[in-house]
Amino acid sequence: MGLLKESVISLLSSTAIATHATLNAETTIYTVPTSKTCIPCFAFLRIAGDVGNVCTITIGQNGAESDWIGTTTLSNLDAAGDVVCLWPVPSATPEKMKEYAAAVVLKYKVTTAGNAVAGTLYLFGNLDDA
Amino acid sequence: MPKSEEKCLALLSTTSVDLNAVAATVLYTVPPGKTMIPAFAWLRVSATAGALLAFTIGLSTALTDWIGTTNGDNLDAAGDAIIISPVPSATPAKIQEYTAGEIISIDVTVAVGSACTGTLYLFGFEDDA
Repeated sequence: MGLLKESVISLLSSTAIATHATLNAETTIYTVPTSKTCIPCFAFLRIAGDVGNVCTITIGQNGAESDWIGTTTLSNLDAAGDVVCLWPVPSATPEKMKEYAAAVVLKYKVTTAGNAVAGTLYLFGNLDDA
Repeated sequence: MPKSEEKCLALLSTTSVDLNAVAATVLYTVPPGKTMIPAFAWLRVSATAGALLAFTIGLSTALTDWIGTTNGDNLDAAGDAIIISPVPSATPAKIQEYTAGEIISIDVTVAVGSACTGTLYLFGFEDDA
């Protein structure tokens, strides 16, 4: 019987982001399991307070931390409980994403520092056999 | 064992909505001890929604705080459906978590003008509060 994560869009990980005040801080959010490939679908970032107006982040594999979610500005996150949905924008010429192979590590990276505010990153996606 | 709503993007509710009445209809109540983040919704109609239909979705006391005013004029025939979601962008629109006991409703702000029933499928996920 296949894993649930192979037949639905499932919650791949739920990760605490300690702060948004440290430039270039990286947080591991997922490691692709052995003999699997992963396609991330979208992520939700829930915040514990005001991130400020300048904070930007990216998400991608270790060493190329913007190859799934490019530079994204968090200026709309003003208060505890605010949430943004992070995903490539659908269009008639869709943006390229990637599959990630077994053992690839996905990271959340602060690319412009904001306030010292924690968050929770919920990553959703799908797994398939490699 | 965790509920599927905590491990998947899940169908949180399926609700029949009278689209010919300016009124709010309850879609979902967050369970005790949980917090909920909605992801998107589908609205399927039983007949043409004409060119008038407008609605919002949100907390019962802040009915636009998830989905602002949205038009249904592309719903032309029975079985047509639309996807309803905040538009992704490089500066994402703020949405929010909903806490235990909070009620999510759809608010028809401009009625269709003729008999039309919609079915609203709400998708999202829950986490421990």
